[in-house]
Amino acid sequence: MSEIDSPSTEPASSTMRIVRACLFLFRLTLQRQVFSRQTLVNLGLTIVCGMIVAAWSYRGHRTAMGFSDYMLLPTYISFLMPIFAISYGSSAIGGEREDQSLIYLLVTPIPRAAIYLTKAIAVSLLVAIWSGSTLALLCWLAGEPGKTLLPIYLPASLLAGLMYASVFLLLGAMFRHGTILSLAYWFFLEVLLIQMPGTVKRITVAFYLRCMLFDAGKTYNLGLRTPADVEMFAAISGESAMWVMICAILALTTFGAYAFSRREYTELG
Amino acid sequence: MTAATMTAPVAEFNGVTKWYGPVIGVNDVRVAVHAGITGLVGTNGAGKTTLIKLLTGHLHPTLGEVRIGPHQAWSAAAKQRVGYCPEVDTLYEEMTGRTFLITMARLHGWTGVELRDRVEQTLQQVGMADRANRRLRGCSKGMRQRIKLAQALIHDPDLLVVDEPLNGIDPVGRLELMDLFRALAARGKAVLVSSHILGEMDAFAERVIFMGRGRVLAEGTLGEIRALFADLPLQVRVICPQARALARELMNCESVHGVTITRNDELSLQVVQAPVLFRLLAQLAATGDFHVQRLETTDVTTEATFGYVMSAAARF
Repeated sequence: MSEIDSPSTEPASSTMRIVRACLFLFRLTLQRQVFSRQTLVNLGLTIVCGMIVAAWSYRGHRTAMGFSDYMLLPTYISFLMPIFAISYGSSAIGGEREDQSLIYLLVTPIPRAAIYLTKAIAVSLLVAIWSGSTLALLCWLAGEPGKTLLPIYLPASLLAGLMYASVFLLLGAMFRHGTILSLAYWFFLEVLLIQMPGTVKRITVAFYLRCMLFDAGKTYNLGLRTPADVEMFAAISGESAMWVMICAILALTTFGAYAFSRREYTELG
Repeated sequence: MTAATMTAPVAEFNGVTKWYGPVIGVNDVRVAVHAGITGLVGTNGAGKTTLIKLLTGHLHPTLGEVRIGPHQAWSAAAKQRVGYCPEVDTLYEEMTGRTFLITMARLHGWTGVELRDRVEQTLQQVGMADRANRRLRGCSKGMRQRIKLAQALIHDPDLLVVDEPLNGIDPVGRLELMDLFRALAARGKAVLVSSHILGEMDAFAERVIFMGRGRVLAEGTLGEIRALFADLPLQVRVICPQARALARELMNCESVHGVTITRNDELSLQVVQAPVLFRLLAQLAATGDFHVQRLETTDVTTEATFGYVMSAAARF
């Protein structure tokens, strides 16, 4: 081991260094998430769903309504999109917490709130790219009905993807075993609750996503065919649902940054 | 007062208490960490880890405050002054040692030539410059330990906090790490080392903090702490070929409470007033009848002093 020399040059100003560190953290988060097992799982699931859609597209009498009801709602909206959000959202902080490498972020001079926000932006970007590109792929495979539905589904699914990501990022940051908790949340709240009558489903992301989708797809009679559907999903306009989701994303992210900046990770170190 | 205590402390605990729900982690801790090497010693559950986590800003104190220079330890500004080498053996496993250090340097805001120089300098410091291109998941525990230490040094902190640094390191590596700690201390840095290997603490720690039951039981140099136990006889070992004759002489001295002939040329003494004994030995040596080859205290060690401190703490 050699003798120690002081750094030869003066470091840049503190604020500048933190900005540079945050930009690097953004890149690091993207890099570690993209080259991960989650990406392989997402890729595998996308290929399987793509094959299902491709098989469906060989049938005769394909309509936008049928593509929405039998393909996009069950495979993409209810399954793939939440999976993308869980895989990247819950692992961004929760995964690092579980393998204890989070400690190396917490020893840096980056303020904790900035760590959370940087991770949130990186995760949102990944989820948006996965959600958008997968939707585009499925719609392309479906042919004409897909072309019709892509502009209807894209804004709602992007927004819902971001909201799922912010929920799962928060769960991962706040609780141990965030991935398991996120899966439980998704199954019990999002999958089961959305099937139930009444207003309790308004706490789910899936509710606002459907309100926005069905409102935008009125022309094609998407979703709202029975009086029960109308009662459940037409109660809130698409625009209101959109604003609820935007506000929820902002609120969850702000709360997450605050909570993360106060949270003590006693198990680390 | 030693030279270390005369300088401003690098870190301070001012009446710090930390509760984990109903369990107390540390209780009313008042201690300062100065430049130089400080050892942190205590049994399991003594509060060492809590103290380290408070110092590195991973925990909030329930009461009191932890300061790193002018900053609260929790603040981002304090993190620029502290380097932390955790005990946990986790790294970004997919990276090489060099990439990991570059990553950590970037997370501290370093870029360009500054960054490259800093990374290479730090790898040199920890003796990993020629092995840093290996993937971390394939590195030995000793190499991983050095890389962990390197990430703690990458931003040239004023205070280095090291938790069990000698675990998994071979004897040569241990000496190298001790030299590194000494070099940092010589540059005016503070190094706080928590270790269970008490014997090695003697070799490099200038000051020691003894912890037990969430409290700081004693703090200072080993000599200062040992002096607190003036009523306990000091253990002195004397190597002298005329051991039996010397024992006869020493038994007449009032300050010598016990003499054991441990070998033909070795005595073990229990002494209450060491200066009196030392003067007597000097006189005896001057007569030419006794060839005292070695004279040393055997219980001014971390392990022995820790034993005294724990025994005293148990009485309360």
